[in-house]
Amino acid sequence: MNFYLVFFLSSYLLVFLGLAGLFLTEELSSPYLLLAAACLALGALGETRTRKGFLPEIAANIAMLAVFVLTLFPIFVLQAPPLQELVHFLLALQAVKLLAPKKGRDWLQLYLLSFFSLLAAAALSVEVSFAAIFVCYLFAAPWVLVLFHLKTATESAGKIPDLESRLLSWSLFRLVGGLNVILLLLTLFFFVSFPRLGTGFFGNSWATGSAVTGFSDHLALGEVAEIQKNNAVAMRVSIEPRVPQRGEFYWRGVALDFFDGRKWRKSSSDTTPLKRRGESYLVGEPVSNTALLVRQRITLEPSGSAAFFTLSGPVAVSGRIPYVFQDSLGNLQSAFPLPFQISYEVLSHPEAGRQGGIPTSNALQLPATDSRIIQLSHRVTDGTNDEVKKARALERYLRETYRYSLTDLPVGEGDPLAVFLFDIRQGNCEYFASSLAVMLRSLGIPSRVVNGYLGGEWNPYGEYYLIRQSNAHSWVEAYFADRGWVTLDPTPPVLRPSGSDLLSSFTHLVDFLRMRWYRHVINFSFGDQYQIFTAIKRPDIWFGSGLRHFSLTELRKWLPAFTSSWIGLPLLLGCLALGWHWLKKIKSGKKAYARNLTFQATERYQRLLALLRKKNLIKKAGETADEFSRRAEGGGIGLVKEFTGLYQQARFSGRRDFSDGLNKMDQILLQLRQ
Amino acid sequence: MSTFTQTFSHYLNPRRRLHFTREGWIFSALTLSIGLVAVNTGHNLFYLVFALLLSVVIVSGLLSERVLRGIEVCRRLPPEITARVPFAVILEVRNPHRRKISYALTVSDGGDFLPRRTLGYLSSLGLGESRSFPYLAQVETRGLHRFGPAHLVTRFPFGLFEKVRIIPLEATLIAYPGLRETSRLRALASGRDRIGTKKWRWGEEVLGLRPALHEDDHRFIHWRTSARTGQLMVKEFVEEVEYPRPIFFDNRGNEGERFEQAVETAASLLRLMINNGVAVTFATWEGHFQPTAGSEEMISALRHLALISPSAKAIGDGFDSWRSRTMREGGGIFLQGELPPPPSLPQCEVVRV
Repeated sequence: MNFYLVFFLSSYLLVFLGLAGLFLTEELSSPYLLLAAACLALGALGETRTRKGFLPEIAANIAMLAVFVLTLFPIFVLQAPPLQELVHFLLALQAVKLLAPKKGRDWLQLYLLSFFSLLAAAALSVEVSFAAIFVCYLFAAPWVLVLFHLKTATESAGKIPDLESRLLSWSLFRLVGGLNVILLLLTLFFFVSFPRLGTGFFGNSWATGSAVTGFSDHLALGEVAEIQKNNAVAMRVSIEPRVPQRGEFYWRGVALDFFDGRKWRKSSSDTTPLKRRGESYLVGEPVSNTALLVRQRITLEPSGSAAFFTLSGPVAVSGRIPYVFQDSLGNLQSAFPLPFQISYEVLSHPEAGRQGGIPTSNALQLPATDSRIIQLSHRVTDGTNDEVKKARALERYLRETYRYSLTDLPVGEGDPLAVFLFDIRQGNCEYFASSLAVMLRSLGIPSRVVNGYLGGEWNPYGEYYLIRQSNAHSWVEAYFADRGWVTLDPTPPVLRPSGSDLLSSFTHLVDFLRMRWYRHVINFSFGDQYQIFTAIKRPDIWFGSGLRHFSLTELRKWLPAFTSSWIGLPLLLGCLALGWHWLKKIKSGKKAYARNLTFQATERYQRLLALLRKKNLIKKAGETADEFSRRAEGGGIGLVKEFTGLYQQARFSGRRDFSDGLNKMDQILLQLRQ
Repeated sequence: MSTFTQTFSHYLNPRRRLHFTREGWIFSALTLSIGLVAVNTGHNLFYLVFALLLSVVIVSGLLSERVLRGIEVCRRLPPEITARVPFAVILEVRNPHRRKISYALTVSDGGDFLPRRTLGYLSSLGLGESRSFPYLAQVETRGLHRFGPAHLVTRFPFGLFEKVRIIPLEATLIAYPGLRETSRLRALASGRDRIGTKKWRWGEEVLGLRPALHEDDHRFIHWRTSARTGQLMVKEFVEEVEYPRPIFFDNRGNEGERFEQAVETAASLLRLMINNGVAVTFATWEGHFQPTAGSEEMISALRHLALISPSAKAIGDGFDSWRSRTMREGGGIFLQGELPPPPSLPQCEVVRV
């Protein structure tokens, strides 16, 4: 195998991985990436064919200087973002280096640039694609560095790597393979165990990622439809207890109570910070029946919104969140919009009436409304005085009379609700919810519109619900004096198109990996570390209920009492050390036996017997080696006698050095084989 | 020391040295920087990269140890060396393992007289393979010289650290005094004193006649004298027997160049005479050596000269022994050092060295 060829290709693979990492961030301009990719291809071609660079050395130096100046220019003159410009500089520098002639240190500089590319990719993106690149890099980099070291060391000794036998062998492949495995395990160990002392409140708060459009404090009719057309992931939720849930989940985000005929907004922006107890923020009064509590672990994608989404009836919120505020509408929100991914945990109680307190007059506020809407409300609810029945009747009426559609929405001139109810008679959830809220208010029932998400796809791999932007939904909360706030959803059910099982399964698998990546890597926190170290002390967490009582604490109770005395523990440690020493000795004894002369001679004799067996000369049971050799000699195989003599010398002469004899035995075996 | 203690002392004193290479310093600085960035930002991907870099450091140490551990090294030295005469040293490196190839090994050797030097580089050392590194060394002065430990050095796998395994091959060599041959010494060494004596056996020259005994060979009967005297007379022969020539080295004086020259001259004369086949006895104020005829005796005398130091007093068994031998055998050599010969010097050849 050509050492140089393998070395060049491996080196270029490493550079390629760095570039691929940058490419997958989707944060860089294409010309730079294309330039680097082209230079990579050209450089690889040049190295494999001529081993000379495309650029003369002086030209490469001038080019590098030019690249440096061109990088500083946009930063200081055009006020361009420094990180991106630095990455561009990195790409341009790599491009020049790839084309320049390379000596020993140039390769090292190229590896360093490639590593910085990986680092830049880590800074620019938190996507799961980085995981793939990182793992590839972890496997490729040691191999390349080993090759580089062997190359430089061999060349410095005045030798040519290509001529060195065994330099590039399967043994080296195996060695580096083992090295990679250890490296991977150690990396995981250090990653998990290194104390998270970072002050980033949300883990990766500085890495903004790509935020998608989300809900805000005001919402114009038709905006939800735009959100619904987006298929991006909004959040992932694991729910405990993991029992099949009946009906759809309503992930409450932002409730709005003021409607001007076209747009909903909050009548008041006053918020109250929630009290913190331990690691949790308490919402409202503590509940008495904790058996009904539902735990939700929510990973919210960057949304640009400050809202925390929860199931109805939140009791407590916990997570790496500095503050949680609640407004008069029961909305939970952070101090500022969340342009990054966060994870938090919510405990909800399904009992009604916990979403905010008694309604204010704003819950009955009506814009200038088409009189037909009020008439319709009265007509539909005619015959009943019960507010709940009225509300249910209106909900049923809207759900059964109108058609759901995301297109041709009444966003033009005129009263949009009137157009929806009396003209085009189709719309999306916002129109249904707004209509119901207005109709309820016209009947004197306090109500408000709530924006959030409905349902979600069940991911069987990760056992969580995947909620996309297309799951965005609007519904209504109505207040009844005896029940509190009750959820009403007038939108008719929508049949969502489902993909093929295989594609769906693959999508779920990819999303599961992404979820794990975010959960266990991107959002790995001190809390997780604490959990891991707690779990180490409690084997039952790892091995199930069978070991529930087998914790280290229990084990310590089982140990004899002397371990707690001043001599007990050292004695125990001494015994362990002694045991380890003896084990090692036994192991080394086995190795010594394998090396000793008797073993080697016997092994050769057995090979001889196997060889003769193929020639139909089989040693009988009870036949001595001498007798067998005489029989073999009689059969015309004279070398057996000499071999037997050597074998007996090796075994019984007591000589320590019998390498000549063993070599002779090998020669005889070779002759017999031929 | 018990095996148990040996095992633990081995782990406590593993005879390893670790140095950072230039790349290693850069790598460490980079690792530290990324660690700081990770802590400062709390970004887990930086923690991941930091963990990778830390792991590289650990793996580097593990693998370099794997490369070095168990490699057998032995040094072959000549049995005797002489000052200012180059001698060959062979360092043999062997990989006794059955499954483990070692890579990128550098072998170095040195001692108190020899600056440590790299003997060679092994890109790989296969299973059961052994390689020899011969080189020439030279000591400038007589006396004891010490070889230091051999070093097995590797930067494998990444070139970040240089790990040195110190192999305890310390050895002490005795260097005989250097050669200082002059024409006078050569002339002195070529002379032989032969003393004839009677012996009851045949030899080269007829000594005389005597009455025949029963066991005498009839071929040596001198018939004419027998006829004349009327009894059987046989011829007697002389045999040339070489008696050792006594040499005394007057090692009184002071340390210094002059003394060293004297020692070298004495050693050279000794060597020349023995190499010329002249049997000698050798004595100094401190000691006396048995008649020297072979290499073993010469070695003991040369060892004595290699370690000799100026004597403060002119009293010693060596001188008495030499004087009596010289007086008995009618001649000897007195190698005069810095001081004049003692007054009790017998009749002998005095050579200023």
